[in-house]
Amino acid sequence: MNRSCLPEEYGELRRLIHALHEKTITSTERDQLEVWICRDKEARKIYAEYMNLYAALRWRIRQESEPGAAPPEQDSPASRTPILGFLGECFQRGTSFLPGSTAWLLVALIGLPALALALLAFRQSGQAPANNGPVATIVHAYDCTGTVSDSNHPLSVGTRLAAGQTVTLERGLVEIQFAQGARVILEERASLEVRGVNASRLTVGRLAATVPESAHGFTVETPAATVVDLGTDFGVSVDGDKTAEAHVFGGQIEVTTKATPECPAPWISCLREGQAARIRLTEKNEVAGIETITASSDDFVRQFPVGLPAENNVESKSGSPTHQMIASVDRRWAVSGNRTPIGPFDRHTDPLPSDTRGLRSGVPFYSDRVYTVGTVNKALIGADYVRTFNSDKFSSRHWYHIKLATYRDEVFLMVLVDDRIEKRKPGKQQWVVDQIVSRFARPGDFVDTGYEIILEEGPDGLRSMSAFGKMVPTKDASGKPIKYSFCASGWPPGRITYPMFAVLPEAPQP
Amino acid sequence: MPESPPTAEFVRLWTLHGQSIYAYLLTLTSNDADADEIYQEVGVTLWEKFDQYMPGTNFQAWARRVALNKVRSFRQLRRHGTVLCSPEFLDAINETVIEESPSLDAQYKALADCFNKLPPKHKDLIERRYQLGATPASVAGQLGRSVKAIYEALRRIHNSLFDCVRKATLGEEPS
Repeated sequence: MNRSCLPEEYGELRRLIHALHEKTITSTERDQLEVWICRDKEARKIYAEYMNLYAALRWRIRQESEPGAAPPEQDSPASRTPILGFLGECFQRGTSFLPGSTAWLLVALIGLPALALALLAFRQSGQAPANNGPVATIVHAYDCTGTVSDSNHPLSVGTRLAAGQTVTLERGLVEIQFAQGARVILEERASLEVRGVNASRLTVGRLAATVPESAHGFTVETPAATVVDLGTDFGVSVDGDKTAEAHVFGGQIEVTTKATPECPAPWISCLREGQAARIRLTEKNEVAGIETITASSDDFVRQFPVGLPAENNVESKSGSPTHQMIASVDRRWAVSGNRTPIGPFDRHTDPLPSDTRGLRSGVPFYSDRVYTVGTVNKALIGADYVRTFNSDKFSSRHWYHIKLATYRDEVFLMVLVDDRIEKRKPGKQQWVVDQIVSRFARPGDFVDTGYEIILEEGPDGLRSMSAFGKMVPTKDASGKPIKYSFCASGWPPGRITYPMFAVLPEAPQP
Repeated sequence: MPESPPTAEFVRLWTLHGQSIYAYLLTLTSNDADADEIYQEVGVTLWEKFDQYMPGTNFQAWARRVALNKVRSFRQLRRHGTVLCSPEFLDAINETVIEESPSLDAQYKALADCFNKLPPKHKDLIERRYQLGATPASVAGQLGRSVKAIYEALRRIHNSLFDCVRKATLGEEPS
């Protein structure tokens, strides 16, 4: 949606917000507004923006009207505003404004960190295993290589882990189930020590934890902080550059930073759904900074790929694919990142090979996500396809140059685009496709086939993409492969314009 | 009397983030009188607990946590007929404000230009409306116009400012 211009449907929302602000809203209207805001994210955003506007106007105008006030600036002294007058007065009087009870309050506040430390120590000792028997098991593995410390067992499904053993994952994904019920999906280039039936330590890498009621209190210790589950799904990452993050996808967690000699009082915070904290360490592993950020469930693999067997190396290729119709793919000027399954990638990194069986249920879809294809319309099954990068949704403009295999003179070339574009603005999906193929096709050349695929995007749900296509030659008059250049731009805001490309030998038949 | 270092640091941080905390409170409470009152309480609480604050960490996030708790406590004591007050509303709005924080900050910065683009009559109306204790009715009385006319004029001007700051900050959003 074009954010500078609200659709007409929000005209009524604007009227209600104004009535709320001017206190003329009726109880019926208030209930209507409340339900609207709670259910509609865009409405919430609009409401927040209006309140921000009202607050800014009050702030600005009262600042200007204050006798002797300085010209309005964001960083002007607090004590000049009527709203800040109380505090301004307090500061002029030093700290004498504090009530008598504050002294006792301060004593209590100083005591709290010590209490928290004692509680933390208790929790950690309580999670120590009673014996050396297995406390966790690897229940899923996906295209993985790695090791288990102090063990002759390979890193594979069924491997049991005792307290103190460390799983070092070089590639792929594993899912570990702890004896008390917590399940953890560990992503490649990670090291996780199993510390007990309900405790772990992540020294590097990224994990997502799903914690049932039986395992509440599940702990993930990191070099920077300890994360304790309070009934939730959450993600933890530890970066090589001394940064740890904790993201809450549901429920609550408690994050406690490590105490250091310089800062003996740890920072303790309870994070709720949608919240996250980033903790930075110094070279000496001391806490350098903490910031609260918005949780990003997109950054974590939260559900094991659907439709894939729980075995290693399911993606291993043997022999030439029988359906290969795409000869080469050149990705240019896109975004950089570091995501599973491809690992680190830059602006020109080419996609991973597509599944040799072509499009069908259960095959991996992106190069930088473990999302899989859920369902495919029968007419599209077996199409060769490009595993594009989901992260390219952050690119304002990038290119895919595709050459087709020339053993057929013509093939049916397809661009698949997100159906949310059409839902937001009918007719816009065709426009987006026309932009993507504008280098070699006229507007309307790529037509909606009426077929779609459904992606399984983990817990975030299903995502449908419609296929637009056109019969195109594979080679020019001299027999050289034709290069088709696709340009994906950042329209519209909302990061939903990442296309996918696929090829069928013939146009799909009903 | 010269300010001690912690006091000076607190004043600096409170000055820097005060406006956004006030906007946060108005968004959570949807009532200017409540926002004013809680704002002062938040300031006092932050000052009392300032020894817990770790320099270099996110003061705004800390202040917001304190503010949210204050709003929750305040709601248990007092309820108005004209505010949005369900727990679902509070949680959803809190999440939205955190998520939209960069764009809200950008809109705040863009407001000065948008305000300066208003016709003088509209500026005057807005300035009168936001004086302490002013209402559309009191502004109507000052200007000898009907309350309805002032109410509608304010609605249009607010919408115009809203559209202006959105447009001004459009290019700053990620694609």
